[in-house]
Amino acid sequence: MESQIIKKAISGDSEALTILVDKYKDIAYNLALSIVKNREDAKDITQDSFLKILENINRFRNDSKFSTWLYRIVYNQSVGFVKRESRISSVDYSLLVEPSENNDNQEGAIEDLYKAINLLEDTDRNIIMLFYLAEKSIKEIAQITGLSIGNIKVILHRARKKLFEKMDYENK
Amino acid sequence: MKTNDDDIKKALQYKIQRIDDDSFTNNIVAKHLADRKIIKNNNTFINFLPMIIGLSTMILSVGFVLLVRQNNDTIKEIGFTENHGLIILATSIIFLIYKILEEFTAPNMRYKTLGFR
Repeated sequence: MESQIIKKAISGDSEALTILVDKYKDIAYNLALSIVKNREDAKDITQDSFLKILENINRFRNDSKFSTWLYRIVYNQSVGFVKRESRISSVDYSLLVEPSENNDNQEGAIEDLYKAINLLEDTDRNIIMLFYLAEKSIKEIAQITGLSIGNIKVILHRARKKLFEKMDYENK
Repeated sequence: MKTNDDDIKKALQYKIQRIDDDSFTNNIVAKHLADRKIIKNNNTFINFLPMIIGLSTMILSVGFVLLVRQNNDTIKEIGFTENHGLIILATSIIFLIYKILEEFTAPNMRYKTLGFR
């Protein structure tokens, strides 16, 4: 199904292009935001990444998923941006956490968990996002980040442990 | 363990950030299609045939004029004079200038489409 949309996008079909951008823009933006921690910069990076991808879409081969290719570009652009700007990688809740309107227990727990995710180290958080939000396999995360599969397994195990401990602590 | 995995996923999906720009997708698609059009137009075939014909005629007429000036017998027998050569030369120059102007003011040429950016 997606390969048909990609074929149409290659031929310049605006409907197919819109479908592709709409489908992946949110996760691409969240990945960029997680790395650069600035909404405007994340938006610019997401836009540039899409333009880069669409410009080269005729070179896309089905040996990996389109989303993996896109997230790799977003990841590299974001990491490159942070390096250029020499940003200090500290977590700023005001940028990453939107205010919640409801404060019942379930939503409060989700809010706390989200804050805990944002308190993780940058690499850990990015891998958690790719694994849980983008639903990427460990092999695909390795392709996106350039890290080894073993390294990703260790990071994922460590990050989950931290989050589960936090959740257990909250539940007590 | 399973519940905890689901909770992480739920938290990330629930708190997903949206781009606060309704025209974000349309802008990307429009920009991509505009860039595509420029690339396509820049690759437009330029017809070099009139230029080759014009240049060949110029060279031939100059050659004829030189032969007339050297009092070549064959040229004299044909009845070709220096004036004939100069007329052909002038015509080919006018033809070339016209073709160049026509080619470079066509709407698909680079400097025209660059203005579109």
